[in-house]
Amino acid sequence: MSQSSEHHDTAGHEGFHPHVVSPRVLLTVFGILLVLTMLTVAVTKIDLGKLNVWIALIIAVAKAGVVGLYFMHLRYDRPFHGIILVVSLMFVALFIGIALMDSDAYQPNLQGKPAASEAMP
Amino acid sequence: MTTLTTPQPDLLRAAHYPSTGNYLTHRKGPLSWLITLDHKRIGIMYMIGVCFALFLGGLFALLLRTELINPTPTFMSDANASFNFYNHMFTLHGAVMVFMFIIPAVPAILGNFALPIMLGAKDVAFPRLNLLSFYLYALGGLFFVWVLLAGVLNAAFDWSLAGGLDTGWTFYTPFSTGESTKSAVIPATMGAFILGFSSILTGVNFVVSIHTLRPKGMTWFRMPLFLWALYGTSIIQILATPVLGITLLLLIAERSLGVGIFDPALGGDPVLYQHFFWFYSHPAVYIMILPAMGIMSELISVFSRKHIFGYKFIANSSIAIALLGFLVWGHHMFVSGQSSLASAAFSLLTFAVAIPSAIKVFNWLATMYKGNIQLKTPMIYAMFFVLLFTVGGLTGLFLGALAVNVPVHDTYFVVAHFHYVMVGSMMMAFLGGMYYWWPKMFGRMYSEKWSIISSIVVFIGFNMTFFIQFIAGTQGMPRRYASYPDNYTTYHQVSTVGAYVLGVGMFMVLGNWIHSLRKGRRAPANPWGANTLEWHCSSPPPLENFARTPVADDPYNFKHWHWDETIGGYIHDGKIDPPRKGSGH
Amino acid sequence: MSQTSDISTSPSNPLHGDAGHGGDHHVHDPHVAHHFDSMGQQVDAGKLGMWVFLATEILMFGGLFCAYAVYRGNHPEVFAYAHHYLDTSLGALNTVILIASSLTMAWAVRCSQLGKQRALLICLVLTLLGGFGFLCVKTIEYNHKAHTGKWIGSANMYHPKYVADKRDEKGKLKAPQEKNEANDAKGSGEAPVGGGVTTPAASTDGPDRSAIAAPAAGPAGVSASILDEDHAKAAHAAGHTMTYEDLPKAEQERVHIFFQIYYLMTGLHSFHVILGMFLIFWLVVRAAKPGDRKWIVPLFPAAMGLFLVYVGIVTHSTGVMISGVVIAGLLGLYALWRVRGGAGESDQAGDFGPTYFAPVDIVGLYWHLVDLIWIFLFPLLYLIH
Repeated sequence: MSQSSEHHDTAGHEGFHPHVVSPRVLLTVFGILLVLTMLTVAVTKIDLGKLNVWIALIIAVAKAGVVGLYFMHLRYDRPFHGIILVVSLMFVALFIGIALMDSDAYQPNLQGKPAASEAMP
Repeated sequence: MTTLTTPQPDLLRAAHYPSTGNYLTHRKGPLSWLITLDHKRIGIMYMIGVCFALFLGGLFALLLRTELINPTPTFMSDANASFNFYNHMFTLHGAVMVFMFIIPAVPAILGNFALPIMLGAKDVAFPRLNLLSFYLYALGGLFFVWVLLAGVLNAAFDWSLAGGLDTGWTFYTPFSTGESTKSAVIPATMGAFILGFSSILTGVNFVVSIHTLRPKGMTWFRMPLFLWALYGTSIIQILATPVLGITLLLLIAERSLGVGIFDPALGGDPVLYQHFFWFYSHPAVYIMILPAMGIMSELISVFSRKHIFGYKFIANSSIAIALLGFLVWGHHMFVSGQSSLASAAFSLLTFAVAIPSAIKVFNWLATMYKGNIQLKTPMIYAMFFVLLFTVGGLTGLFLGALAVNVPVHDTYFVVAHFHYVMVGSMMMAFLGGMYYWWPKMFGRMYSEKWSIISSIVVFIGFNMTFFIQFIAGTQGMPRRYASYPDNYTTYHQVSTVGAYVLGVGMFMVLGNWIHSLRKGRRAPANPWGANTLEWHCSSPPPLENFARTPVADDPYNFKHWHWDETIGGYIHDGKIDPPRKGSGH
Repeated sequence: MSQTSDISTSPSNPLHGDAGHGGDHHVHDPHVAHHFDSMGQQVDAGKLGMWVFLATEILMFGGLFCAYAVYRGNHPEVFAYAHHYLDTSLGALNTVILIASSLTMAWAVRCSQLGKQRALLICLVLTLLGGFGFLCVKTIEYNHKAHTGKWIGSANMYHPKYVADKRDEKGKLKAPQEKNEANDAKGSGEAPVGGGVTTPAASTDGPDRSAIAAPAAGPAGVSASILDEDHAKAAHAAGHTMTYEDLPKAEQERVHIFFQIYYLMTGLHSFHVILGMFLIFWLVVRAAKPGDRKWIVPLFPAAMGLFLVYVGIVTHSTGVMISGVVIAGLLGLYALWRVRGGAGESDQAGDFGPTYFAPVDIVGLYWHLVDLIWIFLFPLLYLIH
C-alpha cells in the first residue's frame, strides 16, 4: 500500500509543507483592502460619467485579487486552483457579456409597448 | 478479495469466483443500503430511482401518444374542452425525463459504479457527498411526484391542490409567472433546483476523483475515454448547473414575491429568462450526450477487439464539446425576440460544435474498420447509437441554420430531432452501457438471445415513433398540441403505434434484466475481454474494489486477454507490456 | 463487517468528516480517510473539492450579476435614481467588517498551521463575530427599508401590485404616483422633490384614481410621513435633479426592480454568510479541547437566539423577541451547566495542528469567497454614480 502512495502526478504533498503567511503580509493586505475601500467610496464623489463604473470595478477586481492571492493562498498554491477561479470568472463574463449585448440590441422591441403584449407567443 | 493484478493463472482463475463476500452481500438489510457510502451501492440505488423516473416519463409519453391517435379529443380533454391534462402530461414528461432520467442516468448510475473502479480507487473522493447527492436526487424526485399526484387528484376529485404543471419543462416566463397558471410551478422548480444540486455534487466528486485518485501508470492520456467523457460532463455540471439554480430561485421569487425580473407585466424581461435558462439547458444537452459518447468509445473498441482509433482526438473532443457547448445556447431563441446579431453568431457557433461530435463518430467508425466485430448486445446498441446519433446530429445542423430553423421552429421536426439525440442516442448508449456493465454490477449474465431481440424491438419502435415526426414537422405540425387537422392523422397514428412498440421493447429489456438477476449464470470477471481496471476485479467487485491499488496500462490494449471456455470469460495471460508493472511479485 | 463500520465512521473529506479511525488496515494518521493513500492526497482532494465548489458559487452569483448588468445596462436612470435609498455608510461599514473577518480567518489558518491553539480559537471566534456584525448591520438596513415601503416583491411601493393592493385596502395610503402620468403625462410634475408636501393629485387622476384620498407626491410619489428623511437624503445625495418624475414612464415602472435585485443579491449573500458561520462554528468546536466541546455546542444556537432578540427589537416584533429569549436563555443555561460539569476535565489540544489543518484552510476559502462577492456587491449596489 505504501509503495503506491507517492505517485499521482497531481497529488504531491504540498498539504504537508504549507506556506504560512506572515503577519506582515496579512496586515499589509488588510491595509490595502481598507485603503481601496476608502478609495472606491471617494471616487464616487467625482463625476466621471461612464468611467465611474469601470473604476469601481477595477478597484473591486484589485481587492478581489489581493484577497485571492494572499488570504486564499493562491500565490503559494497549485496553479490549477487559480485556473479554476479564472475559468469560472470567464464563464460568468461570457454569460453576462452575451446577455448584455443581446438585451441591449432587442431593448427597442421591449420598450414602448404595453406590458401585456410583451408576452411570448 | 483477490484481484487480477497478480499474474498467476491459478490465482487468476480463482479470482473469478471469489469465496468471500462482494459489495452486494457483505452486509444485508435495507439500512445497510440506505446509509452506505459505497459508490457501487449508491450507483445501484440511483439505478432504481432513475428507472422509476424512466417508467413515469415513459408512461406520460404513452398517454400523450394515445391522446394523439386521432385528431379529435380522445380522452384527455376536461369539461371545458381545454387540454389541461394534456399540457400537464407533456410538461411532466419533459421535466421528469430531463431532470430525473437523462441527466443523472449515465453519470449517476454507470459513472458512480464504474468511475472509482476504473481509477483503481476504493471510492470516489467524497463518499458522503455522493450519498448526499443521492438523497437530494430522491428529494427532488419527491417534489415531482407531488406535482404529479396533486395534479391527478385535482383532475379526479376537482380539488385545488397546488399540482400539475402546464408551463412546458422549460418553465418559460410568462407562462410560469402568469396569474392564470394554477399549476405547481413552485414545487416543480424547487424539485428541479434540488435535482440540480444533486447533479453539481456528482460533478464535483468526479472532477476531484479524476484529479487526485488516478493510480500509478494512469496519466491523463491513458485514462479510459469514459472517464474523459465524465470529466467533460462534470465541467458542464459545475459551470452550468449553478446558473439553473439561480434561475429557478429567481423564478420562485418571481412567483412567490412577484419580483418581476422576468415578468413583462412588472417591467421585467422575459427574453432574459430564456438566456438564463438556456445558458444552463443547452450545455445540459451535453451533460446528457457526453457520457453516452464515453460509453460508446468503450463499447466500440472492446467489441471490435481493436485499439480505439484516435484516442487523443476523442479525449480532446470531449473537452471541446463541453466548452463549445456553452457558446450555442442562443440557438434555442431564434424566434423569441433575440437580436439578429446574436442569432447569427449563435447559428455559426452551432455549426462549430458539430465538429468535435463528428470527430468522435469518425473515430468510432475507424475503430470498427477491419476490427473483429463481435455482435454482443452492447455492441448492437453501440451501432444503433452511431446511426441514430448521426441522424439526430445532422438534423441538429438543419435546425442550427437560421433560415431553416424559423419555419420549422416548434414543430415536430424539432421534437423528432431532440428525441433522436436524447432517446435514440443517449438511451441506446445507456442501455448498451447497462448491458456492458451488468455482469460486473450483479455478477450475472443475461440471455443474449432475448436481449438482442428486445434491442431490435426497441430500435424499430423508436424509429417508427420518431422518424415520421420529421416528416410531420416539415409538413407544419406544431408541437404541444392535443388536436390537429385531419391531414396529419397518418403521421400521428404511425407514431403512436411506434411508441407502443418502443414501450413493449423497454418492458422486454426490463424482463430480461429481472430474469438475469434470478436465473442468469454466474458472470466471469471479464466476459468481454476489456482492459479497463474494473474488469481486473471480480464480478461483482468486493467492497473496496481492490486490495491494493492496481497499476494501469493502456486501457485499449486487449492483446493479453484470451478467451477461456471453462470460465466463459476472458483471462489475462499474465504477460505484461513494458509500461505496465506488475505488483506483488 | 469491520470494514463496513470502518466506512461509515471514517471521514469522506475534511469538510464533512470527523476524525476517522483507520479500522483494521493500518493507516497511521487517524485523520486520513480509508480511501485515501496519504494525508497529502486527502488534503489535495479536499482543497480541490472546495475550489471546484467555489466555482459553482461564482457561477450561481454570476446569474444575479447578469440580471444586474442587464438591468443596469438598459435602465441606468433607474439605478442612478433608486440606489440613493441605500445607505452608503452602512454598506462601507459592512465592507470593513467583512474584510476584517477575512483577516482574522486568514490569521486562523496561520495559527492552525503553527499549532497555536489559543490564538486559533480567538481568531475563529473573532471571525464569527464579524459574521454576526455583518448580519446585524444588514438587518438594520433591511428593516429600515421594510418600514419605509421599500421591501422585496410587491411590498415595494414602486411595485405595480403595491399600488393596487394598498388602494383597495386603505384608501389613504401613500402610493407611487406613476399611474398619474398614465393619463396626463407630467401632469403632476410640479410635485415638490423633497417630498412631504401634499399635492392634491385628484386633478390629474384618471377616474379610477380618484379613490385615492391621499396626496401622492414627492420623488417617490409618496406622501410621506415616514419617507421624509429618505427623500431628503436621496435628494441631497443626488445633489442634482434626479427625481422620480424625471424618469421616463417606462422606467418608473422598473424602479422596483432595482430593489428586487438588491434584495436577491444581498439576501443570497447573507445566506452564504450564515452558512459560513455554521462552518466556522464547527471549526470552533473542533478547535476546542475535547473536554470543552460539549458546552461550546449549545453556545452557537444561543448566540443565534440573541440575534433573534436583536432582530425582534429592531423590527418591533415581540414574537421574534420572545422566541429569541427562550432559545438564548435555555441554551445559554444549558451551556453554563455544562461548563460547571465538563470544563477542564481534559487538557488535550483541539483537533488542528501543523499536520492537520485542512478543515480550517477549506472553510477559510469559503469565507474569503463570501468576502469576495461582497467586495463586488458593495460598489455595484451602493456606489452608483
